[in-house]
Amino acid sequence: RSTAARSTADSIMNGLKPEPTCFFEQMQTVTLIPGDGIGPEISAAVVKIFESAKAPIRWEERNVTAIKGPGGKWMIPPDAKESMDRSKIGLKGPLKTPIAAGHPSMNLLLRKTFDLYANVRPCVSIEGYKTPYTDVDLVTIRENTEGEYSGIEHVIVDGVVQSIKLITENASRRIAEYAFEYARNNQRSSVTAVHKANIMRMSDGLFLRKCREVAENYKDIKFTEMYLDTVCLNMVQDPTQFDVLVMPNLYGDILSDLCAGLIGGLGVTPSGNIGANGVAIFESVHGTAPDIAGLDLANPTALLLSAVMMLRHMGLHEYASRIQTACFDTIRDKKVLTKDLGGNSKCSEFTSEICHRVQDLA
Amino acid sequence: NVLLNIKCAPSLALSFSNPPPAKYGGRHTVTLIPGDGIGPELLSHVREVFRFSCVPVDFEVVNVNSALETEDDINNAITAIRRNGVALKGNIETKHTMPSSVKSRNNLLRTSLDLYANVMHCQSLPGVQTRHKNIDIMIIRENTEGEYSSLEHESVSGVVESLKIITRSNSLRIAEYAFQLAREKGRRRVTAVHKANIMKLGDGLFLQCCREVASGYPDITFDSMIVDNTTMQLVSKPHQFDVMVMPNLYGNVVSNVCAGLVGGPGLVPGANYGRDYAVFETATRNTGKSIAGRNIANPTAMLLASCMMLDHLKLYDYATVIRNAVLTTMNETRLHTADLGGQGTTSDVVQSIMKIIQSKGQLTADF
Repeated sequence: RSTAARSTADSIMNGLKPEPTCFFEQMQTVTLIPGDGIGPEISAAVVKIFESAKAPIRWEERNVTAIKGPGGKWMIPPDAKESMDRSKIGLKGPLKTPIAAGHPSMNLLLRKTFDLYANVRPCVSIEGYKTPYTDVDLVTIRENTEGEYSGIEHVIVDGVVQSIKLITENASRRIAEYAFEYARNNQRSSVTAVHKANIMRMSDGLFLRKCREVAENYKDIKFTEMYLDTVCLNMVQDPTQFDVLVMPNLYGDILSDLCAGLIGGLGVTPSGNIGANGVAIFESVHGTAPDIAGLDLANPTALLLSAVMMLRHMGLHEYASRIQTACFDTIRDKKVLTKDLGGNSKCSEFTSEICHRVQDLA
Repeated sequence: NVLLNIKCAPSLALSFSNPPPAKYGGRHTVTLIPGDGIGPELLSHVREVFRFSCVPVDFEVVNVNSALETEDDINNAITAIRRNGVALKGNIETKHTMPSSVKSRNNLLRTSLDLYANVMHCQSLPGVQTRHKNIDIMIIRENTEGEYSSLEHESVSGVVESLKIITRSNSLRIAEYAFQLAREKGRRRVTAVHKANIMKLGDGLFLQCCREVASGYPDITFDSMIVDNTTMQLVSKPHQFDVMVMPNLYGNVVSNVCAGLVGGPGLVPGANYGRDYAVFETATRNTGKSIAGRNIANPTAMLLASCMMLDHLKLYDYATVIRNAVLTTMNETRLHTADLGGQGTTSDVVQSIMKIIQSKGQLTADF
């Protein structure tokens, strides 16, 4: 399936001759990882929409499968790594996690390869896709390398298990700095650190201290701290009180999914992962949906909104706004919707509708 | 009749931890820990309502000063609870300015008394406006171990390790409690909440223990769900949940989400049960510093917690009268406190409750 998608993407790319534009915009390369299941078709949809918007993006398609490198260590294919190191920007569809394949999940491999330390999920209510929560507009920034997911567990004695949560000064400072930079670059007014330092005095206490220190350098952003349970309690009553949230790994996992649930689930939620060497990989966080793969039924919204996030990250705000508006307008109009959004149109029809709107908005 | 059916049936599960026998002329002595923030004012309202209703309970007040570094105060409180067997408490603040060796007083209390089961029953109330209606979820949370073990150390400068402990015996114990409670309340399904895909050994052990216990209860359906998916499901489709059992931290998250779904921290009572002791408080354990002393706190949660305590002491009639009065007041919308969007003060609500109790004719004091 991925070769079919590759040829689709290539044909879209080659079919349109580069038109001379008034602004000599540099074409930027993005590594595209279509993924498995519905991955290839939603990736093709995004490529098509970007073409309609005439976004200056050159897609470089790569596959990621786990291969055993020299020394027996699992790694991603070298051509994928080389492409990403060069382009620094990636867009990824869902990857299937094989059970008992002997290698760790691909997502984990990617995270380790590029030191993707920050997981960013903007959650914005989609007008036209009704949930009990309206006016949600917040961003969760989750530390993605340590915390409770260090994977360090021991059986102390039979029947007693110890899991280690690791919090380090460097990782906490790094994520706090990213959170405040993000807030500044995206005109957000406040950053809230989410913690449980009343119970985990030393570990979350360290995280909190680092956040406070970094906040000193960003006096233009309001900094607050709130217990995890209070955030959960208030989030389900009034999510509008939250802006940017920064937190360690586990709390971030739970809260980012909670917020995704507020706006309609993983099918409409974008996500971005920021790495240490300027690498950024944007992805859809839903599953591969093997039951509808290849049937032109998939909803490309999550991947499309992640691609919009990517455009903003690259500074291409005008294209980002146009594509996002086209997508939201299509959903709001309710005439052409995929099945999971409540309609009965095909993925290709939904995509075409967005393409038309993007061209009209130009 | 609807009100009577909601919460009043005396729970047989509460007989797990036997209440202390009433001494001194049929009157019970209960330890009262005012705590910080809104705790003292809410508990004084509880005493007011109890006095008004002639409830045969005497409170032994033990203050815990959260500003002190020594553990004398909390140890006194624990001793008092060991003596009396039952307590009603407000939340004790954990100050961040103190060194990290000063542990949470609330946690110390729970672990010292081995109050292993935290039980919270989230029910939508007819008089409260919420986004989701008709929620009825029981949450049973392991209350002594997990992430709350307070075992932390700085192994290298700048690197802190925090230990999460899961034991087979505690996991079996809490699963057993959950299934027993589900059976006694006639609930059909128990869902275990975990993150065993990541914490394979720790949460894996918890899940395995739940499965073992589940096999002994074939009349009750058992399933499991990963915690991040659980929170997503709770905000979109909460009606799929019946009884939920989980380790400590996930219990913290899930119970706060559910409390928010049914109307907020001012409404839901919580109970902590051990083999020998029982401590009652509000379910979400908030100190409420920002609203303390302003007569705007919602007394419902604390009053309902005190009714749970009366049930535990087998003083069912008093519990029923007070509970009915609280729930009746809740359904008169203009008597909502600020957290529910109303204009009423705490005293307004308490006065209304006492008026309803008086109108029942019996059980009131002659002044």
